[in-house]
Amino acid sequence: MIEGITEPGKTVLWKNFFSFPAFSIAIDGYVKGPTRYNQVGPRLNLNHHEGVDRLSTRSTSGQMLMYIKQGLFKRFNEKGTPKAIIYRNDCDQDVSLTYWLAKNNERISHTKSEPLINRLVFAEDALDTTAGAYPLSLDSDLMRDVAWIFDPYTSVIRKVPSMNATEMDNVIDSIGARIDKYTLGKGEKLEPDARLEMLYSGVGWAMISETGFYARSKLLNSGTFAFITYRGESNGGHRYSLGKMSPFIDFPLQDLYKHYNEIEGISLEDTDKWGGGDTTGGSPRIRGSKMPAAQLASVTEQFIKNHRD
Amino acid sequence: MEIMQRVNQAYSSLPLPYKEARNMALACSLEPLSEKPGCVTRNFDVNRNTLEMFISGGVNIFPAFFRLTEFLLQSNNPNGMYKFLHMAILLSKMNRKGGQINQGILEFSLPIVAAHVLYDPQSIHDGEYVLNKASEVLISTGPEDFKELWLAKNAGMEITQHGRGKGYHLEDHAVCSVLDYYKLEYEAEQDRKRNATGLMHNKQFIKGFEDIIQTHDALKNAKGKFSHRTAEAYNIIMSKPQNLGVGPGLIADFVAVSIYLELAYAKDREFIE
Repeated sequence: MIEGITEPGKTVLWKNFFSFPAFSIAIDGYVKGPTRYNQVGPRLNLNHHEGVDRLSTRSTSGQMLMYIKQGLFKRFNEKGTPKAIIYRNDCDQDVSLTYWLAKNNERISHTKSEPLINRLVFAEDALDTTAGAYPLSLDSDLMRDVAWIFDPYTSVIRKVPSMNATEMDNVIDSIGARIDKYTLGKGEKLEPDARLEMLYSGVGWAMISETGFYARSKLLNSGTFAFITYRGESNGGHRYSLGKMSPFIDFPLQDLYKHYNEIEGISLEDTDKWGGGDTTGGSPRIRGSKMPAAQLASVTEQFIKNHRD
Repeated sequence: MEIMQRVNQAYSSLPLPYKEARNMALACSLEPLSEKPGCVTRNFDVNRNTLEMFISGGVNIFPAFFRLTEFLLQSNNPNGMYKFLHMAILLSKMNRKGGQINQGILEFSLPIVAAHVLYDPQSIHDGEYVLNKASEVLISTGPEDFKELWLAKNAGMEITQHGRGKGYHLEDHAVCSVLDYYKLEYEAEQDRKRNATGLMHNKQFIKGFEDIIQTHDALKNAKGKFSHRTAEAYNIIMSKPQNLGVGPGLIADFVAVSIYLELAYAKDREFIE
């Protein structure tokens, strides 16, 4: 029996996960840190958020597919029946697909294979690994399938941070029901909502305000591979996300975080500061930024110019 | 005679009012063309304001600066010149939609153009010299000038409201000169501690146009195409930590005034490319 337990926003450490019941599987950030397996229990953490190189690590659903193929449920098994308690703290695409794969493990185990499932996992793996920055045409059948399947999540994304466990379970179940239909060839198609407002177009980067979930895909498909998204103002601070398609794009995120912190007078020891990884990051989580969008764009453009000169 | 000599001779022979008005109109028309974040540009409209509105507004003010220069050449004294600010603000709106989009440019440039006309009409010195002299010009304004400034500011607000923009509060003061008005406004902004843009606007008049001098320096030192230079000057000033929260329109105003100074001291240089 495959069971799901949702605890919104909760994260635990791997060492503390040993106190969880046998056959526990933490997915997509519920347990902090990279993927790990312990045969005592057994217990498993599937993750790609911390302590990994994102581009060379599969998404959680990509890992789940691979693990099922490699015999995951021969060990997570009680009296011949697959058994797992899957712990999750979110209801996004990767979580929902991972859970669906676990629930439907017998359809894809060993040499059994379904092209539509492989196709969906490929798309989700590519998009999640790159935070939506994998170049898939928004007009393609694949993206229109993806948009429809995950619409129960993308259409409520702004409410997700305040959702309780039941609400998240409803999203996961709705996506699961759509994957069921899709894999039977009865899925529908939806135009990916890629609406965005261009706030500034720099040399090789842009500042946008996203309305549609697939706005970044549209921007990247247009040939702009680095971006700042303006997420508005709250609690007196401006909120931004920064990103680029891959480490190979010349948009020096780490240097930019440092520069922004200097301009705003935020010390490097401060925990609430500009920061992030080498492909994604953002403004201070609590205080936000003092810089309005036009100012941040100016600061960035001038920094990039000096950096390239 | 070579063609460029004839071009320069044609310009040199123009009476000063034509040159000053042309330099202001051209500066106001060139400023919005470059890509400056947060501003109306070739590629971006902002708050329903368009490039066409800015270019129209720039050309529309030509007669006001023509008349200002004539007035100064006759009177040799800035006292009474603020009626031309009022005139410029009214004319700026002619035949175009939108609110009062060039209020700041006009407020800054009036004493600066006056200083050029009164102290360096042959452009022997440089932009910084004129900006320093502009502070002296403000000292020489009288109560009538404040009255005209007040009318001009109110006209600007009415134009903004007519253009469906937000209204804003204007503080009346009993003062004897334009400079005194800006001093009181600056002190009031310091007390309010909430409007970085208003503070910086008023600071220019009482602190020797120091941020405009910096913008002008940045423009002079920037390299490349003219639009790239104006964008770089804008970005440099916007990036200064002390300018956090200052509105983009104000820095664009500084750029416009800097372009005017470039034109006033360009002589026969071809720098618009």
